Order: sequence, then structure tokens, then C-alpha cells
Amino acid sequence: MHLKKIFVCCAVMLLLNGCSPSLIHIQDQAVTADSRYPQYVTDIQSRTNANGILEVQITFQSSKSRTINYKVEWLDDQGYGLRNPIDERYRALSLTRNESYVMHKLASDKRAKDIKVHIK
Amino acid sequence: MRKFKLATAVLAATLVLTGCSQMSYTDGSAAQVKKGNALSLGLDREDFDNAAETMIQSMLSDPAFVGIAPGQRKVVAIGRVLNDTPQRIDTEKLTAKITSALRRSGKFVLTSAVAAGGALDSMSEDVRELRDNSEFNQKTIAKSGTLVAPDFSLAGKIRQDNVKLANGKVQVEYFFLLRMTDLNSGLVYWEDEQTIDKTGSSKSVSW
Repeated sequence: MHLKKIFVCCAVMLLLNGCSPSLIHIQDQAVTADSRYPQYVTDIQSRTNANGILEVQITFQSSKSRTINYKVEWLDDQGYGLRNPIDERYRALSLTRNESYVMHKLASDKRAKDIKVHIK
Repeated sequence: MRKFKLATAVLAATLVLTGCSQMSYTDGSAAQVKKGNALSLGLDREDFDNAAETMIQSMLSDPAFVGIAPGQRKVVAIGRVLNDTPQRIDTEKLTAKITSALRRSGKFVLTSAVAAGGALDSMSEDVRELRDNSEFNQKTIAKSGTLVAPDFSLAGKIRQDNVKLANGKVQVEYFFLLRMTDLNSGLVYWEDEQTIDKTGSSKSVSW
């Protein structure tokens, strides 16, 4: 009976862990230590372009077809969120099996210095 | 037993109908590669967001605007954005996202005093009509020659084509085109286009 309870608890914990969104946090053009993201994120690049705007490029390649939901959050140099009507909600992205997809995001706000990409 | 059969039939019919009425984004090619589910065959918020994002990324990555120094923002006026679709579209759903991003980039500023079809905000003109009105402190009224003329115009079109497919479904193709014209020279400094393809049952076309 005890074993059953432990098993259920473990299953719930695994389920909850699986549901918690992944996070890619890029600060000073490098991925921070608090970032945790799935294996199908294969490459992360960021730079400030010729117009002085922060841009990021994330490459996905999944071994199975899946739909992910992602949300982008732009932060200023003090870590405060910058409002962007286009990026304020989760958006769906369909990944085709074994096909790489390059997602390109541009801040559109010159104050943006950091970016957080939430994936679930 | 009979009830069970009826319930199964209803469930099957629901599943078939749901499957038939599903609308999706595709690559627009003969292969009809799906790129996710669509909310409708019409233009919805997601489509405007995607189109605006593509245009903003293209514009703010373009070397044509690299030379605009901080503090020397160029003034943009909204030109005509033609709605060449059978749908009633407020084109400001697209242009407002773009102009606010351009403003936040620090390189552009929008004028509401002049636009295709009339000022976005007629108040700039209205306050000038208060000159010689003794009810108003004349020192607080905008002086003549203070409105700033635009450097650029943002104009374009949204076009829709419906294509009947061999399987009886309809592919709706939306074509977004925008261009930025230098109003001094008439030269187009930037332009880009984006196509959004959606496929679904012809019954789900609501216009």
C-alpha cells in the first residue's frame, strides 16, 4: 500500500516537472546558468545588429513531430520587462520530425538588453 | 445495445465533422505541408501579429536605416494601405504594430498630423484654429510653422486569393506588401512581402 502511494507521488512529480515551462535566458549575448531547455533546442545565437537592435536566433530539431508553445520576454539593462504587443502571449510553433527550424526574434526596442524565451 | 450503437454513431459523426472542419496553415505548395492549426480561414490576430513581426524584423535589420543616428529620428507618415480582400479589415491592426516598433527602435517617429485620407489625429489642425480666440491664452497656442513634415511614407496592400483544391478544400492566400518611401526623392528605401496560406473546408469560408 505504501509502495503504491510513493509510486503515485513520483508519477505526479514527474508529470508536474514535465509540465513546467523551459526557459532560455540570454544575458550579455550568452545563455545564463538558470536556463533549462529541451534537447530539441540545438543552437542559440544572439547579437546586436547593425541598427543597434538585439536579435536572437534559436534552432530547433526534434526527433518527432510536435507543437510547442513559446513566449518571448524582452528585458532592459536593469532586468525590467519591456512591453511588446506582439510577444506578450504564447504562440504555437509546429516542428516537423527531423527537420530543423530556425526561429529568429528581433527586439524592436533599443532598450532591450536581455531576452527570456519560455517554452512549454 | 441500441443506445450504445447510437452513441457510437454520434461520436463517430462528431469526430468526422471535427476533422473535416479543421483549418490549418500550410506552405501553400501542391504538397500542402501543414504548419499548424489555424483559428479560421479569415485574417485573425495571429496573422496580423505574424505579418507585423516579419515586417518589423525585416525593416529593423535593413542596412538602409543604419545611417540614422540617435537623436535624428526620421518622421514617418502612414500612406495608403489598400485592403484588396472581401473582408472588412482595419489596416491599422497591421500598421500600428509596425509604427510602434519603429518608434521604440529609436530611429523613427510617427506623425499623426498628416496621413493618406486625412490626419490620424485632427487635433493638431484644430488647435491652430484657436488663434485669435480671446478665450485662450495665445502664448499657449502652437505657433505657425511648427508642424514637422514627414521624411518617409509607409504604404502597401493586403491581397487575398481563394484557390479551390482538387480535394474540395479551399486554400486562402493572403499577401502582405509594405514599402517605405523617402518623400524627398520618391525612392523606395525598404519593401517586403509576406504570404500566409490557410487551407480548410469551403464551407468554413465566411464571406
